[in-house]
Amino acid sequence: MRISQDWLNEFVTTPATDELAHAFEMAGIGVESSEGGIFELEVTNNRGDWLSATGLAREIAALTDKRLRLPATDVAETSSSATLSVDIQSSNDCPRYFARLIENLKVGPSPDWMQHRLIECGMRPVNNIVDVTNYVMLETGQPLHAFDADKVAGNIVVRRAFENETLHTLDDVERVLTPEVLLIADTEKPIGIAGVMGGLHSEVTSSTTRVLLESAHFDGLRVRRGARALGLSTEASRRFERWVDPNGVRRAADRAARLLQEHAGGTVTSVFADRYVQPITAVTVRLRSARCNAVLGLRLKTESISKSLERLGLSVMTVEEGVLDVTVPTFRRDIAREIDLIEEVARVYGYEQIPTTLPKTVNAMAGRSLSQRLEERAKSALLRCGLTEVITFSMQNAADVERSGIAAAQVVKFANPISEDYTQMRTSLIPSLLGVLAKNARSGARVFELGKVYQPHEGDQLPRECRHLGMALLQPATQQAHWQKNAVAPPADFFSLKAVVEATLSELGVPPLQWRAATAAPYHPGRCARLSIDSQDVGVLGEVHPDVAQRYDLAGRAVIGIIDFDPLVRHIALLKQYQPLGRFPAIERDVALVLRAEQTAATVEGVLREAGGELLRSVRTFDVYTGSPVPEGFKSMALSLLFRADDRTLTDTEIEALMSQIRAAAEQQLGATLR
Amino acid sequence: MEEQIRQLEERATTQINSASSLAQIEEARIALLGKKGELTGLLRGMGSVTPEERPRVGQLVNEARTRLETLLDERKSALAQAARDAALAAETIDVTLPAPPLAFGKRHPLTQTMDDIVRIFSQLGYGVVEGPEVETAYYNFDALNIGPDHPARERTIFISDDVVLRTETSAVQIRTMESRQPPIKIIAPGRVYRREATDRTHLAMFHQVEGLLIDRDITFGDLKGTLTTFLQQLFDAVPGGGGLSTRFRPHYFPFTEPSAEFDISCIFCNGSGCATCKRTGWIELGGCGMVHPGVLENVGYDAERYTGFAFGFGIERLAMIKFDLDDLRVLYENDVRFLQQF
Repeated sequence: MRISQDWLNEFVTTPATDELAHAFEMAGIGVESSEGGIFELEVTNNRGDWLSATGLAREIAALTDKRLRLPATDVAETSSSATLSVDIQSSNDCPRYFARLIENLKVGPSPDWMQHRLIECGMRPVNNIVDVTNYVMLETGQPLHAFDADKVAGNIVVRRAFENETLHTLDDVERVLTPEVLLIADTEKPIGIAGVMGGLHSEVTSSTTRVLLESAHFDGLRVRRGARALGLSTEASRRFERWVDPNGVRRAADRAARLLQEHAGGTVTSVFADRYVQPITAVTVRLRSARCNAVLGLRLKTESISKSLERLGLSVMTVEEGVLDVTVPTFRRDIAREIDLIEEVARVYGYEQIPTTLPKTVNAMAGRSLSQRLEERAKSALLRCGLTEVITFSMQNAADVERSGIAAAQVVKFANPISEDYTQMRTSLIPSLLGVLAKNARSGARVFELGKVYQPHEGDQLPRECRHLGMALLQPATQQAHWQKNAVAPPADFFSLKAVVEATLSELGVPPLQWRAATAAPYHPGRCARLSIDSQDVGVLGEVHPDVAQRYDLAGRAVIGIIDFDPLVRHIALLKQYQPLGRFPAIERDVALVLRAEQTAATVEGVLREAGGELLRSVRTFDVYTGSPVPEGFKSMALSLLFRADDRTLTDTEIEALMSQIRAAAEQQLGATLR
Repeated sequence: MEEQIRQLEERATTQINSASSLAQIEEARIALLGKKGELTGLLRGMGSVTPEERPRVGQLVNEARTRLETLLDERKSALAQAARDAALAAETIDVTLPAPPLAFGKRHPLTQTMDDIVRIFSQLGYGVVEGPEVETAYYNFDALNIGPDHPARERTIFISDDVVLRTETSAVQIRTMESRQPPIKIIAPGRVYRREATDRTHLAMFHQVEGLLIDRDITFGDLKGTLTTFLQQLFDAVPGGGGLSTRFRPHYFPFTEPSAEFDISCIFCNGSGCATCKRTGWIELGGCGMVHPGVLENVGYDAERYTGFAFGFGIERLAMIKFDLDDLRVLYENDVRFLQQF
């Protein structure tokens, strides 16, 4: 809503522009700008009465405690033999319809001051008749329409449009209507869309001499639906949607008639119709001053509350001590309950004046939940592993999914997507992470995201939202050389991410993971593993398949790991128990084995561990070698074995006995040759 | 004899002082004090001294020996020190050379902002609750007094007629109220979605925190006090953020009444007016208000017995202000060079 301070001054004495801007803000009317005394105001949907100069002036008068002066509307009527009748066929849509015949008009430009004000408010001057209707709308908030009376055949009819009925509207568009649309028609044809826009045929032209001036109250929802069905939003429809005072209809019509008499030479005839088929009356709302004070945290006296409400134009009657019956005039549709009146008291009193206090409520469930704290811990561990957190959109499109190469899945699709970019919710973090790697292809990345994926679930209205932990490492396209030759960036291969996963999960107290080779999209078929805890799968980790990497222009090696975070929660042990440090020395022995190439380290270590018994504390592979002199199809593995007892120093004899058992197991169970 | 001792000491002193290596010192020591050393020899030659003179000469020899031993030690440690100095000098580095890169993980700026918010509200006694992002239209709209023709529905991504991507985290509050009795004291952080074109200051997905307190005797003054406390703590970390003011302006939301928008005094110009605050001195942060009695009634609470307040704000916008960003989209580009700055 644009309005000049100059215009407001006609109805109330306003303070300096800056102060006025502040008063608007503190009334709840947003000020976008106030340059040169022209206010660009943001009016909330509940206050249709603020979409007019007098409505705004009334608010300023109330809040600055000034008198409101309303313009004169008395008008001299001339009798005429013409007739006018209005037939409202849809009374819920149109509780009131007023129309008056005005004759002897001379169409021409409106006076300069009027044109000037319309331009200031962002409207285009047309001619004196149209300008008067717009001027009065801006002044009173009541949209008006002038039909060329000579183009209207017979009676005015207010009815819903028939299916596929058409009307050529003022904006020169032939519109096909639906029964959602409320029409103003004559006996033969539609002449306007009620509360939205008039028809072209009955428009005021230079040859117009007689007009039917319409001032009506249309149902806001009906106007909104009609406007939406036609893809239209006009100054008139915006006002009707937000409420126009049904009891201001006549006043606005008289004001316009007076101005047409003054500025277009019109004769205001006594021919008018005022069909008020569903009278709308003021409501009375009870207010208890104790309740008002309890909600606001104030100690206002009843008289002071009463005075505040009266300043806004409400009438107050004291029922008993501390209880008021407040009658709300029909220009305020937003007040229906006690709490609405309490808000009015707060506004007049001033939000700024209400003292600040702190609530006394204590809460046993303060802070983060257990599962949120686990997330925090996991993030903290990953940060310490040198991974940076990323946050990506949870919306994507089918092409993103296809590009990433992940298996197709059921998705949560949007019925009304914003754009082709976002048409569905993600079911995996992989496309998001590949996008992040592509973004950082040149300089490399070590990142993670702990975020949700969304999986439709048969029989449930809402999808399952599962937390996933995604991690990705990418080698930079070119390694930056450093003057210290050994100071290179950490590698981005399978094992560097495996280290991150193991360190992080160990930090969370999760029992050791089992790793087994797997094939899954979009991973390298020979460099991918599924990981599990107690035979429950919890994730997949692997190097990105070179074909996929190529689609994202990833020059360096890339590796991605995804862990299902929710099932992990059951295995997390936040309370860590002390393990005594060994008091007796540990003894280390190495063993070197030649094995078939397909034997996995997990199998080898498992067999040795089993054979070594409880004194064998750790088994660690420290070398793997293939090539001469190891025969084709075989590999050599060297492992370090650590023995320790809690109650004594182990003797060479004891160790030797264990080593023989271990060697025997390696030969028999693994078919290994000892080196 | 006395003259012999004096001459020997003088010669030895010159020799020790001119020694330039530990080996020469050792050589000098053996030559003087070894079994066949000159001073040792003098002691052996005591036989030629008269018995009356013997104690005095013996004392002279011993004194000379002590002085020479001390000198040898001093000279030895001086030479050792010089050798260490030389060795260390040889190890001198250019301290201005660049250090190797250190891979250091960084928390996303949105998480940092969210963590600050959660920390402050946790200290004020709020529990942190979450709920589904794909939500029913009932929880997202109807339960919040948002009618079927409210424009908010046009800014919503629908999955079906009655399932939407949540447009606020308010639904979490309704779900919490349905499952518990007052007092309720929670914040609900999370992702929300809008059917909006993306630009410098708008995103189709962003993060929000909403808070809710329902108890007896909760007032609008409590709402002002709570948000003021929170905002002052949040922006203390910003340079010059000490004297932060807050402002509450009346506004309209269907689910609160009285409603307000809340602002902070501009942290960039301290309220004197700059480009960031559009010369107003204030930065708008979010919406709040006393929970509408209709909302309390919808969840079966006694609206006469309980009052409460709710508030909400966007995390991206706070991050934008805290980190002085000029474009929200940069938060979702995940350029590691950007993320490493915070």
